[in-house]
Amino acid sequence: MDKMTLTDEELILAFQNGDRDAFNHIVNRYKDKLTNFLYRFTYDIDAAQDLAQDTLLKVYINKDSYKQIAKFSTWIYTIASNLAKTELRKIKRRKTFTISDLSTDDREFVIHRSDEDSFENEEDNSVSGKILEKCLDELDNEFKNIIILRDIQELSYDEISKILQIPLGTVKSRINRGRFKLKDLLKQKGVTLY
Amino acid sequence: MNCNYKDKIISYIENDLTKKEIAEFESELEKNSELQLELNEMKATLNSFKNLPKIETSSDFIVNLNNRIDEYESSKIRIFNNVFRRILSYNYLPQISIGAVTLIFLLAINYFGFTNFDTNSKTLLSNSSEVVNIDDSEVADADSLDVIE
Repeated sequence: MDKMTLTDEELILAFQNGDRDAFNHIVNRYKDKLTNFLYRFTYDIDAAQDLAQDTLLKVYINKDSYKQIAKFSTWIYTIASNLAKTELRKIKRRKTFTISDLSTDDREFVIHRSDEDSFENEEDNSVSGKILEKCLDELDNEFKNIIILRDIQELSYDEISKILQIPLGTVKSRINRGRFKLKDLLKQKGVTLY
Repeated sequence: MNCNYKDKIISYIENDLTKKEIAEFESELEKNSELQLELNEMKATLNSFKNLPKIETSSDFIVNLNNRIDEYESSKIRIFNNVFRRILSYNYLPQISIGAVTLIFLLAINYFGFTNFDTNSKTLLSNSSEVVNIDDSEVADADSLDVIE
C-alpha cells in the first residue's frame, strides 16, 4: 500500500499496529510544519528543531494514547504547543535571571541594543518577514499563539479550539482582536499596508 | 466608523457572512472610505504572512530523531535488565528465598484448604436446593389457591 496517500489518522493507526514505516511517514509530513510552528515561539532554529524532535519522540512513546476520535493534527499540535509553553517559561526565567544579574552599565547596553533593532531605518517599508516576526513577538501570548495556529499553520477554528481548550467563540473573537492588534503594530513600525 | 462593520471585516474576508450580510457590508463599503481602508489594511496584514521565512529542518533531523528513539529503546531494555539483575543479585537472595518459601506455603494452603471447602460446599449446596424446591412448591400451591378463588 502506498503510504503517501494515507491520511494522518490511517498512518498513526498503522503505527499503533506495529508498522514503524508509518511513523517515518508521519515524521516526514510533520517535521517542517512543527519546526516552523515552534520557531515562532523560540526564534532559534536549533531550539525549534529540538522541540520538534521532542514532539515526535512523544508521539513515538505515547502512540497508544492517541484515540481516533480526534484529528491527528490536533493531537500533535497540542503536544507541540505544550512543549512550546514550557520552553517559553524556561526562556523567560533565564532572561529574568540574566538581566537582574547585570550591572547598571550592562543594562544600559541591553536597552541600547534593542533600540538598534528598531525599524526606523528600514529602506523597504513593505511588510518584510523580519518586521512581521518582530510584531508577532510583541503580541500578548494569548493572541500570538492563536494567530500562529490560524494564519501560519492554517489550522481550522475547530482544531484551534481543541488544541487550546477554549470555546469556538473565544477562538474567533481572539483571532479577530489579535489580527487588528497586529495590523496596528505594523502601522506603528511605519509599514504601509496596501 | 460603525463598530458592527469593523467587526465584520474578518468574516467578510473569510467568506463567513450570509448573502444578506455581504450585500449590506458591500453597500456600506461603497460609501465608507474608512471601512475601505480598514479592509485593505487587513487584507495586506493577512497577505504578509506569506512573507514569513519558511524554516526547513536540517538534513540530520531524521538521523538525530532516530538516534533519540534508539536511545529510548535501549534505555527501556537497560531498565528491564537492571531490575532483573538486581532481583537476581546476591544482595536480595535472602528476601527471594523467604518470598519463595512463603509462596509455596500459600499455594499449599490454598490447594488443601480449597479441597476441603469444596466437599463441604457440595453438602451445603444440595441442602439449599431442597429448600428451594420446598419454596417453589409452596408458591405453586399459593397460585392454585388464587385461581380457585
